[in-house]
Amino acid sequence: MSNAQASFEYLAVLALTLVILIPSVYIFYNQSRMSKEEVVDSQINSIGKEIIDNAKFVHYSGEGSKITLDVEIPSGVDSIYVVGGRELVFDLDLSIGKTQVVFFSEIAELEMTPLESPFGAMRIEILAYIDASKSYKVKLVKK
Amino acid sequence: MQKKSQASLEYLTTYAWAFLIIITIIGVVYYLDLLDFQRFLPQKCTFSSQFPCQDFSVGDGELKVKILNSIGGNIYIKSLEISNKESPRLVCTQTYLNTGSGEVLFPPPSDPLWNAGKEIDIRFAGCSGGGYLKGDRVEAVVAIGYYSLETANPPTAETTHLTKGRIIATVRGS
Repeated sequence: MSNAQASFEYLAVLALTLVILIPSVYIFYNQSRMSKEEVVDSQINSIGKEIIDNAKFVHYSGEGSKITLDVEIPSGVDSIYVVGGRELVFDLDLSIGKTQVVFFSEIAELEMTPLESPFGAMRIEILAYIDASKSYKVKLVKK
Repeated sequence: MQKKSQASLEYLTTYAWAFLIIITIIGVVYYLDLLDFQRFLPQKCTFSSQFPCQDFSVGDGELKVKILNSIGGNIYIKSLEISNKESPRLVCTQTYLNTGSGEVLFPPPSDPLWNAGKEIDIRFAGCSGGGYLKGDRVEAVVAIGYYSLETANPPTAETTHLTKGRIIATVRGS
């Protein structure tokens, strides 16, 4: 009789534990997945603004001026490139699908070799120079 | 010998009964929809920080969302789409957009201008499928295609960008 009681109590405790554990794990997993993407967005926002602001500073500082930035690119970034000399674009691949984060620059002389699958710590050099066609440019280079 | 075999058989039979009871309980719980943990998740509208979601509502066959232009420049809206990963997917038959000068059916004859710092109201009407049922939790992805004429006029495929946001809400209904 006491064996049966012990077995039943064991099963009851196990069932109660699973009832509490499984929904909690599901909820926390969902929350952390969405929070992670919000963190990525926040990081990208910070990096993009930093690059654009420093590019503008280098531009107005004149030819030969240079700034080096150390940034941490989060996972989920497919590529980083410049469009039309004034848009810094981050292509992202997140759980909602492929999306883009774009930063508009006040200057229109940005150029950059596209970075594919960038991830992790990265050093970016922002350099103002005159190119072969005598045009004033601000170049973003990964070091 | 007989006692050992009897003990073994009783052991196996006991386990079989226990397994049968557990499976029956799981089936009943699943049938009564007690395993729907999504109802415990908060309602959310998440877009990128460049286009923060100001407000949203889901119900009466519609999905409405209010978004702010924080990208730092005037842009033109090229496309508005809504979908999700359910089967069948969420489909809305009509899209309306209000950039501040009245609600118009999207797409209008020319791409509407979205000024920097201004809000737009997007209304997806005639929504069905994809879990869009009264009282149920629906997850929808809204995609906005846009471009800036300051980069290129006319815009090209390269200067037209896509931003996506997610809305998770319980469908209201009357």
